[in-house]
Amino acid sequence: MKLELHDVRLRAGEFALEVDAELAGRVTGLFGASGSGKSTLIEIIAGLRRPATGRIVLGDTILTDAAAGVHLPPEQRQIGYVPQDGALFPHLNVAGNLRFAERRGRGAQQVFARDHVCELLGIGGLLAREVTGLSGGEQQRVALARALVSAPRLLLLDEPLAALDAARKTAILPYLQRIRDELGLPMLYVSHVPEEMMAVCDDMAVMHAGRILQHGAVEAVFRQPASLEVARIVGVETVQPARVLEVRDGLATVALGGARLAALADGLPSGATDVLVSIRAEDVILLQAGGAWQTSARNRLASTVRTLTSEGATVRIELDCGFPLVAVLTRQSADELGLAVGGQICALVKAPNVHLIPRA
Amino acid sequence: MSDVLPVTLFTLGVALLGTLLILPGGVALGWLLARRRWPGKALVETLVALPLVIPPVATGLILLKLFGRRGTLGVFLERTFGIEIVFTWKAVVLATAVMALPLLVRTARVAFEEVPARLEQVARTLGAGPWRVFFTVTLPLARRGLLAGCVLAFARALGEFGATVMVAGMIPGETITLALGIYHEVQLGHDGAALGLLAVSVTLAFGALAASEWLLRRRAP
Repeated sequence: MKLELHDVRLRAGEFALEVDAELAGRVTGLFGASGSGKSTLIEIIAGLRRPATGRIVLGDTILTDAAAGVHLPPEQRQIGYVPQDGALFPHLNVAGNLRFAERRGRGAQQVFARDHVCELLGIGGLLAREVTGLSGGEQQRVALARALVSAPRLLLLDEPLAALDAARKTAILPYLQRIRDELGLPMLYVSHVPEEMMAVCDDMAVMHAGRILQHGAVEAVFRQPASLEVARIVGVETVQPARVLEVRDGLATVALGGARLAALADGLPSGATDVLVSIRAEDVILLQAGGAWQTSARNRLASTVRTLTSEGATVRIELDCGFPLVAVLTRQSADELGLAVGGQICALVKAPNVHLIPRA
Repeated sequence: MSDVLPVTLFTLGVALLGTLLILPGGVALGWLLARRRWPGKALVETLVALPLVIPPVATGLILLKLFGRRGTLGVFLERTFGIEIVFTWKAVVLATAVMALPLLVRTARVAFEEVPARLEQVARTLGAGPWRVFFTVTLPLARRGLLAGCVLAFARALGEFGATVMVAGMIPGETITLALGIYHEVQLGHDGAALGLLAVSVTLAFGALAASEWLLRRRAP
């Protein structure tokens, strides 16, 4: 089912939302920092906020048409909405919360039976419990179940894992994947955590300051941010200005700092000279300096280790290879390489992992 | 002179009637003040709070001027329904209702403000219309605060004196409540009777306030 957002605008004080998009993926992620407008957009789609202008169409149902004065109230939209805290009704127990949602009028096309939903989310044993006694993860599962039994045609999830600790997050992700895979229900998933995007979403839209900056397959957005802003938002570690020296056979050679890099030239407008190079820290491979192994990686950079920062199970390494480059290794790998600040090392980056972003 | 029992029953009845009279409007107003923005909101808020801050006797005088023989509302009610308010038991109900309204509206407003708007929004997305949301989500979640507000309003109505004496006078067997009775008996030099009424009055007020406290404290789970 397709969700069309035509010229949807809303102004609230300093903040202005302006969105024009067609979201057709099974699960589309809305990605961005807090304050970027993700939640506002979700509330507009749910019918909880009224945009100043624009049309919103879900499948063949017009949800909002500001010009025609159409604004379907939330209760008639059949759009499930699960906010960060789950928002369970504290005066009802788990079964009561589900029953509240089930009492939707006849004629609902898409009905997920309560028993099926409870089984899917593993909450069958919680039905008699008071919601105030549930753990955070249980509350979110009940909130998901409640949204599902309300016969939604679209499910809006607003940072559903944000209030949970790391272990609970990991425990709930499979449930979201099951909803996605077994119910065939389109979802909009709001988050600012790249790993959640990759785990749950097919497509993602990157939001910043009330606008969608880039919309595409999750992998594509992370590997090829369309602009410096997107690159910063999605968290690519190395973003550097560079000059295109040559494009031949689909391979571009760029100069940055004292180094030269090979990159795939697809997507690069012909004649472009000034570009930004983005390299995800995970895509950098380190090799002991002086090693003579033949590798397929196009880019082999003699580097000096500048800093080593331990981040849990990983180590973040800032290198100088004519330009600053960031790599992330597991602690074991870093130990085995005997990395030390000031030491020499060889950095490998495959050409397809060097992303060229044309400068505006 | 005045019997304790009839006066007590009359006072209870009048306070109950006054509270019931303002209940629907007071709750609705509390909700409007808590949840909606509308023109004139600040003015209505001030008007409702007025009886709390001006002397009760002044409120009574305003009511007397409004509902009296030559008052706008008095003339209207007399001509349209043939109802006479001032110096009857109806004036006692009116005075207690007006004096109790601010307490009910304020408590109701706070009670509604404490219900997370998010829960109401989610209820809407789950298919419930505004009325169903109000009766099945908002009202149950605000109910302890609302109950406490009713008890407070009732307690205020029980003890009302200043406005009542202005608008209803002190007519034995017709408009004498516990509070008015105490004053009346002291004026007549019947201190014993006054003390009897005082004891009843204190007991009722104490009970009402204790009930209100209990309801408010029980709200936090």
